[in-house]
Amino acid sequence: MLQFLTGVLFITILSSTLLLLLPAEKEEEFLPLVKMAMGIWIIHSITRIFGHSLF
Amino acid sequence: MMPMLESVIGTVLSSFIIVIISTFMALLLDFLFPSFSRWTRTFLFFIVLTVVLYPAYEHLQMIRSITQTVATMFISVYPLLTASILASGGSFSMLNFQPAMLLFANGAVILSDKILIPMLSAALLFDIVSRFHPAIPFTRMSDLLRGSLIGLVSALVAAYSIFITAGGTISWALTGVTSEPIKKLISQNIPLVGSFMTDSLGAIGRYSSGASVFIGAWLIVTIWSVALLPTLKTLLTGFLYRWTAALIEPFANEDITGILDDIGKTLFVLCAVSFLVAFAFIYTALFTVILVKLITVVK
Repeated sequence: MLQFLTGVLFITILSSTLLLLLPAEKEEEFLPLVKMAMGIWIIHSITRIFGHSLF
Repeated sequence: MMPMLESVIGTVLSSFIIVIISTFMALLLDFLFPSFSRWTRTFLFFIVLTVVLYPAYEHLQMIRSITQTVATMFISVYPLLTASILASGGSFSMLNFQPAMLLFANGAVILSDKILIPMLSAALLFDIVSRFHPAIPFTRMSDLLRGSLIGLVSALVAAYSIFITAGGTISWALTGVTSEPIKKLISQNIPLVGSFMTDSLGAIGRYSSGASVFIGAWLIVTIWSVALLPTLKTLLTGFLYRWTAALIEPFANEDITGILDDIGKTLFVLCAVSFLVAFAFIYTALFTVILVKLITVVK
């Protein structure tokens, strides 16, 4: 649980810092990447609960 | 009552004044440097978080330490109580002693220490993440966590009240026409946990009025106020969060008011958790006092 929360917090802070640094027109391209990263992290955490591993 | 009120408001109010002033400063900065607005929002968010999270975190710590104290008290008193009940036989049967109640109370205290408070902190974190980064929302997750916590706590209190009322001899003097409007008022005006609070208050009241014959009304009042003080403090702080959110809404960013509102909601749930712990505390304290009284009377 703690690991999952730490990952969520890390992705959020990293992506929002990058969003601040990127120019406004690049934001549209960057947001799907952030969503993908969060999705991979959530699926990875869920599969780990059931004893499997994505990587 | 008043010193408690002053101490609660005094510690929390200063941080809320910082929030109000910094929100206004951010508004000015936005007006003067419009191109800088994204950075202003981020900085304001971090300032508000650092200032506002501390009182909420302090309350979490307070409830956790109280829970631990109550758990230790249970574990130390339980063998003594059971032994004396076995020894004294007849006199305790009047009080409808149910060992399952102690088991429930102990379980609830451990549950709130190991599950409820970590879940509440996780809900708080999800709220912050979804406000800070609206593109990745976790609002459903935090609502789910809070909702299941409320469900768990109210189910536990329902189980308590079933165990208490199953005996039959215990009745609450305040149930009746007079207390109904007050109960209605509480359950409608305290968001999320109001109806739960009135229900469990009824259950505690039913039990303690049965015991007041043995230990006296003043002692019951003392035990009640000692047990319910942390709950009242948490409730008051939760309301202060929502008041601040309401106050700054016209000129502040939606994120800032939203995060204040969310922390207020989480504190209301924490209030319900502390209510459960207070319930366990009242139960143990009453039984210990009755035990001591009976032992001294017999001698």
